[in-house]
Amino acid sequence: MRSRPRFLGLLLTFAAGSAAADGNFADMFSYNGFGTAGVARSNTNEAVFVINNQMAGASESFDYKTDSKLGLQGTVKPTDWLSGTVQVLTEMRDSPQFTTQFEWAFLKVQPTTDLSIRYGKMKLPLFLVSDSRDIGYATTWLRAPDPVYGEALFDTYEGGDISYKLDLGKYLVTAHALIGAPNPATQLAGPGFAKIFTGHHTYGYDFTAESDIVTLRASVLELDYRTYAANTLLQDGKYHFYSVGAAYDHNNIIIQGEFIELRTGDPINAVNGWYVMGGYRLDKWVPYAIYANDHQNQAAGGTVAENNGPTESLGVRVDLFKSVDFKAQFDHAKSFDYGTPFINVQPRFSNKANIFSLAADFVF
Amino acid sequence: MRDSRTVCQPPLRITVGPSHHTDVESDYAIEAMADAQRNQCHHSERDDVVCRRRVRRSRGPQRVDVFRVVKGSYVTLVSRIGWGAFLGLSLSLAVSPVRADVVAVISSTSAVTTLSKAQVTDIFLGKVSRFPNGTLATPIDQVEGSPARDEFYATYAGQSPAQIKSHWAKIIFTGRGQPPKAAANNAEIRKLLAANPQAISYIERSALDSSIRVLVQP
Repeated sequence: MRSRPRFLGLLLTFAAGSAAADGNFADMFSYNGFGTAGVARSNTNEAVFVINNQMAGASESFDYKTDSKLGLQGTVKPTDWLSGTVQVLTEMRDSPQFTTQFEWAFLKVQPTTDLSIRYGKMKLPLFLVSDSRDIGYATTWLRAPDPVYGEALFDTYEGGDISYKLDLGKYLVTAHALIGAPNPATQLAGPGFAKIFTGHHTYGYDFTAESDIVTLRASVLELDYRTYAANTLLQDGKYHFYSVGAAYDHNNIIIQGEFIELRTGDPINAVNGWYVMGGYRLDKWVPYAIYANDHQNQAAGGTVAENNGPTESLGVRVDLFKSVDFKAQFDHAKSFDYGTPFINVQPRFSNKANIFSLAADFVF
Repeated sequence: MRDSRTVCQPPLRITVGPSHHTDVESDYAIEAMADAQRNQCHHSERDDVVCRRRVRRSRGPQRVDVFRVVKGSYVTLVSRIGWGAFLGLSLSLAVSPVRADVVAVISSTSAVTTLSKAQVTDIFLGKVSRFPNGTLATPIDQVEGSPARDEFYATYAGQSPAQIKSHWAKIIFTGRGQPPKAAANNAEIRKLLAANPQAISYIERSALDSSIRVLVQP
């Protein structure tokens, strides 16, 4: 695990120093955890359904790794203006097994209540719910729609960010900017190929406006990336990621949608993705439907062709118990000729599959 | 059978002695307090005065209201029942818990007197950290799962306990903050508020005392 943050020691020194000063040791620390236990299966063995860059997933047998995860977090806040957060997350990433890594590990300084500066390892804020997409308990859906959320090449970065909150009465506006480099690198492997993507020189900014009912967000992220195969540099390019999103939650009606644009300077790697989700809160039950699609250019016979990979989903979340929810989701997913959201595709695969998933999300 | 609503909408404020609020019609409250002063009521375990008023009506069945006068100033209707049910139920009703009528409160020494429900909600959900006058706000929650807490978030934020928990999961696990600390009981809330003018909380109307003040909605 390359990403063990060097500043962890510094953080603890800070914490211990301040704790000794005011003697209120226990109050400074908070421990929390979250997780999802999920199973998924599809109606075909001719392809394996995966999300993000996973290397194993659901087919006609139940798979428990697609959606399951466990996160543990510790926060130390020795003073009002200084805090440190470390979160370790175990989930299936770009390999066929569960892996554990620091998902967040940062120091936060708040000179005023409206201004915060963080340094360390953090999530790349690519989407409306980038930050909290792993926390099933915090979302309506069973999993984030892959045609949009699966387009992120990198998930976390090391660097610094600054955010400023402005209270405009009805709306709370947050401006946020970051600089750093993605970490860890992403590996993509399949029959006959194995590539490693590394990211460098990353900067981004985003704006969020939030009222009691509506959240609006727009973001821009740019980075340099390099692609390697067998330690040979294949490509050195620029990666631009733009997204706009909106969410509405009022009178038991939930509507959420996002649109993303991914550009690499290479017409073959141009992707647009979008989704719309609608849900209705019936006491403890929230039935919902999602339509998600991505639109990607594909090289075919010397020309660039267009492809779509829509996923239609129906699901329900139910909150019967304190701190635990249950979700069921049915997806009808279609793929590009060459992949997402499927791997290990057999020649006779019809490019579509039905996936049924169950999950329990918990927080503690 | 049991109707623990307050009598009229919207709640009225009446003045009985130094600035007091009530949430039943003013005439009714004054009569109720007069009853209480004439000792026609008995004291319940909670130190409140519990009264029954027989209300004669020209039409329909005779009815009996069971209400509570808190510290001589607040009148809350506990139940309104038909005369026939009165004998069987009144005793248990008089001491059974009132459905929480929860109000946002602040220390009596605080300079803040007026906050809208939305402003209170923003403080408790961590969206803003200061009162409109610029002083830092320290929200104090009731214990998770308590009727007062569920009632507060339902009436002020319009959200269920699961929605509130989900909101905080989003904030905690992205390192953006921690939910308000919870006080063990009403006595602790009164104590914390009395000691700290920055503290803000919510409490059942029946648990009010002179150290804390109900936040008036503009």
